[in-house]
Amino acid sequence: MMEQKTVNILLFNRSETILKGLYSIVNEIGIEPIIIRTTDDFFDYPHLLGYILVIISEDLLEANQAFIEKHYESAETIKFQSFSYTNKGDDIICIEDNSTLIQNKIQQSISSFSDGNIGKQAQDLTPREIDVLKLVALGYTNKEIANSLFISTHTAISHRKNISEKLGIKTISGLTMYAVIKQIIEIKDINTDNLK
Amino acid sequence: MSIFNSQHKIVEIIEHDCDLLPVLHRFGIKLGFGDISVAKACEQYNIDPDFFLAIINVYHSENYFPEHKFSNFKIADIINYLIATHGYYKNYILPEIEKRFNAIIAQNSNHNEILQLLEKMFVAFKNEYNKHIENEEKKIFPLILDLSENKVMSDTIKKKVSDLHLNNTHSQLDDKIIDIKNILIKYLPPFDDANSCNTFAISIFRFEKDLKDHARIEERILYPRVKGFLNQSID
Repeated sequence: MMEQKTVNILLFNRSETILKGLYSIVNEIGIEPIIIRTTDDFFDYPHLLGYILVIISEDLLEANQAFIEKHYESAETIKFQSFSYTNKGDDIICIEDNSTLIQNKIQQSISSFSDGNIGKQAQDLTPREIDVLKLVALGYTNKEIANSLFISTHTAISHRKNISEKLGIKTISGLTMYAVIKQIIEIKDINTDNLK
Repeated sequence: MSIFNSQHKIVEIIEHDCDLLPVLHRFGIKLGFGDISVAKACEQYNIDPDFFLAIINVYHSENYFPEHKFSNFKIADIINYLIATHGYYKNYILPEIEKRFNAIIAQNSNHNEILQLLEKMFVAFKNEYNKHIENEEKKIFPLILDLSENKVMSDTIKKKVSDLHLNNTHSQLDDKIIDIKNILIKYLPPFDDANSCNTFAISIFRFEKDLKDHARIEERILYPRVKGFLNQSID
């Protein structure tokens, strides 16, 4: 199972009324948005990762887009959704939209984040990865794993990385626990003192 | 209104996020708040209100992290808060989780050996974490306090501090507790007594969140200050 990426929603608008309104509408879809009143406020949130959706007043977009993109350059993807005072349809949020329509438009932007990211769902371990996992649980080093499976150390390490990503488990003790639970190895085969 | 300010009442803050109760306690503020505001409480308990607000807001909103506002905090305040947090882990949370572990092992006759293995993993984490705490309190923190009080440093102290390798001290420890959490929620076979397992999972969740917050304060507030001192003294 791959780690799911967080979606951050930022509301950037000068109107307190609009901010409060959008805040409660966005909150209803289960994401607590971050309120941005001035560009200074971005510095209060310096480390956003994953996906970022900035719902931004259309008059602020042009002047700030480059700055915001630079500020969050370590994020996975950043998208801008305009907020407008006149009805422009499509994905632009309009002040006259009802809350369901606004939520739909936002949901659409969120779902477009994962387009082209197929294969992020749960993935089973391959038979080869199970071989590697078994040896990890028995306490083998990367080099020993490579030798017993006739692969390079580099390949062994890359298998281990993939296993950890798929399972969401990083430590040797965690991987050992998993192998026992899934009956890939038996409890009697592991040295439980190594469960550290 | 996810960011609290000094006009908020302590009661309002707790109604909004009761996970902040132990955080208040680390500042010496205990239940029975009355209608006291943050400003008044800080005055009464002799706390720097800006520091107090930064700590509770950072804890409450995971992404809120106004680093530019942190550079004025007193090193002693930060360290006192970290030590109070350590005390909470060492004397309360870790023993509490261990007790819960024993309880679910006693109540679940099926898959018992798996729970026992997981407990072993937790105890190993606990011992390692206590060692980590002791090292910080006995070696690292006194050195940092020294550094902040006497700006002039001998080469020996300078070397000692730069030898501490202040980054990444937490990541491996955190990996362990994250693994325990993931195993609990994703991979454990169903147990007889689901209620006790759920309560247990919730306490692991809270602890993991608290640890993450704690590591952020050390790595992103305290350690950058130490590096600042080091650079200053080199100039």
